[in-house]
Amino acid sequence: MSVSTISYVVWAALGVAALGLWWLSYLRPAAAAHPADVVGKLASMPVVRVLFVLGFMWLGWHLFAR
Amino acid sequence: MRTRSAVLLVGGVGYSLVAASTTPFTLPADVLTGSAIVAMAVLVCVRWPLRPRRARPPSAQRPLGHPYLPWVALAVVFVAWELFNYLVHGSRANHPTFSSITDAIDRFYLLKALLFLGWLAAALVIVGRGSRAGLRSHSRPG
Repeated sequence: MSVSTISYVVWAALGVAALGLWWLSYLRPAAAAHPADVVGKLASMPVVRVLFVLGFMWLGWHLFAR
Repeated sequence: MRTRSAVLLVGGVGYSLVAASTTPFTLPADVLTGSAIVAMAVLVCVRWPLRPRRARPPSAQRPLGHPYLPWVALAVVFVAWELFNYLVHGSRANHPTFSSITDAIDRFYLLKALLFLGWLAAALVIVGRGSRAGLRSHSRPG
């Protein structure tokens, strides 16, 4: 197995884990919070919410403009 | 409410299709992406409370933060893997970063439009959840 294959497999596993947690948040909300609740939690923290929004804006700029 | 959702969906899809047709490092890409960022900044300034109240745990039995731990763990692994791929010696083909993977996705017009639409939708969720009403529903005991 090549190095690049391993890298892509790990990225794919991270994507599957994210989807799995999303699915779990509907089945067992006590085990994994819904993504929107995670955002709500971050948005309730005074400093973190500013960093979170700035980071999200930068992500869009990085992905689509620069 | 349905009309509002339909307008947002149609507007978002249309905007994403136009934005996806632009090329990075050009003025149209800067303008369309920058406009969405400015719109999000304005909405955050208008709708978010100046000082948010700390969210209370949903119940007395449930320890604070527990349902968030799997997401925190995933975020830590994501950042560690991104940093490893970014810093390790070798070609980007062998060690793809999140950015290089999305660059590959961006070569396909419809996938890029979907990615842009997802980013817009996530921005709306962030604005909504951080708003006064969003924070109230988040901190309500359940």
